Amino acid sequence: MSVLRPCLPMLALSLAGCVQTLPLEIRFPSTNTFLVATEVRIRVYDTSASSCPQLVTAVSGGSMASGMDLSNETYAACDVFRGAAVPDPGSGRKSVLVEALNRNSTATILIGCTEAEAYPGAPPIAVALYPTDNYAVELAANPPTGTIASRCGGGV
Amino acid sequence: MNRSLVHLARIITTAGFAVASLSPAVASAQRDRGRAEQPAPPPPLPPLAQAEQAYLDVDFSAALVAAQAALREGGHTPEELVRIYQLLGVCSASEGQAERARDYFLRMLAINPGTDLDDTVPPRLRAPFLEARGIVTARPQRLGAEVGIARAQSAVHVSLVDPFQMGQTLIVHARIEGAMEFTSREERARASLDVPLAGSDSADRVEYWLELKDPFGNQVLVMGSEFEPRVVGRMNVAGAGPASAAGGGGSVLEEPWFWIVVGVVVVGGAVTAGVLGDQANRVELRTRVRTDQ
Repeated sequence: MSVLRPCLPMLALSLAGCVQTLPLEIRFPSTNTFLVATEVRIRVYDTSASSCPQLVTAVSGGSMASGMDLSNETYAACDVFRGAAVPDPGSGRKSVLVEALNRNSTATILIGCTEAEAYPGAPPIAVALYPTDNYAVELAANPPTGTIASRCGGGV
Repeated sequence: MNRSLVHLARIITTAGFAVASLSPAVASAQRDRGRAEQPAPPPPLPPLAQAEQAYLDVDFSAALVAAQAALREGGHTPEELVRIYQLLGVCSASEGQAERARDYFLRMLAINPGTDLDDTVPPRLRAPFLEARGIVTARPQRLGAEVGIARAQSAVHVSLVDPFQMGQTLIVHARIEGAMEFTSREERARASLDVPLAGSDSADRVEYWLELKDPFGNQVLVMGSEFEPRVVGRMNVAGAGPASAAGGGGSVLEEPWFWIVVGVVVVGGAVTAGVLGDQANRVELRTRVRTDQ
């Protein structure tokens, strides 16, 4: 074992180097919509169990069943802007549901979903977000100020 | 009565003369018998034994002379030759001939790199040995030979490695597997040589043993023997009969450790390939934001 010990970091590096990064592009309708959002929740489902229309309808109707998702991560909006890592969704076609949440993280103000398969060399996964009924309420309550750069420390 | 006495006196006189005339022969016979009864003087010890005896008596100069005689005598096995060079080295060192001692030790180590000096050798005599061991260790090549079948030439091909050029004559004894007699061929030692062997172009296997001899006829290297020849050629995996029965160079495929190693390598390789394959297929999503306005 002691002989192998010096090789382990190199092995770990080589293995780590094998993980490929695939962009998950989240398209906001406007800069203001991004600035209104406080957090972004990304959930992944197996397409065969949950298609995008079902998911969007369920979220909009407030009847989202828990325990069906393969992953469920919530990020600060600026972290998503800077580039947050989302766990490997696994092989096969998946439904990627993205929600922008309000300041209290209690309501979905933007929602989008796409079905795609993530594999090395796959095209980027793009999810376009659309305002929900909650967006207008949030916009009125907390109008955006500044720019993305002033908020997150970088340009788009 | 007087005549009788005179006659008796004559008889005694005659007998006395006869006894007197026989006495030298009797004495000589007795001397011969005495010589025959004495133990015969022991035959002279062979030079190597003389050297060993002198070494035990701590008579290094006599041991040196006897060991040199043993070397020149020839006909020694590699093990004996190692001992001869060891005695030569130690005795030369004790005589203050450090350079010569190092040379002897070099030759000793060339034959058997694992040879060491026994604990009785005092430290002051060890310096040439240590120097020689450093030289031998620094050389990547070791005394040895690789044998194959040169089918195109219908010959046994020998690649000889002799880093210190100790061998002068290479004797190759070879036969087609199953044949009774070895064909022996004596060649001047060189790095690569083909020894013709009739039928080797089509033979599956060839049995051989070889000797490398120094200029005195001592065996520097012996591989195999007449009774345990080595085997070269195509190995029969399923039923390695005669080759393995000969005990000289049976197929490695018969060895359990070989299959253990193969198993470990295959399983390890499969696990590694699986891990790497899994890692290679892993994808990490990384967010980026785009705003349309």
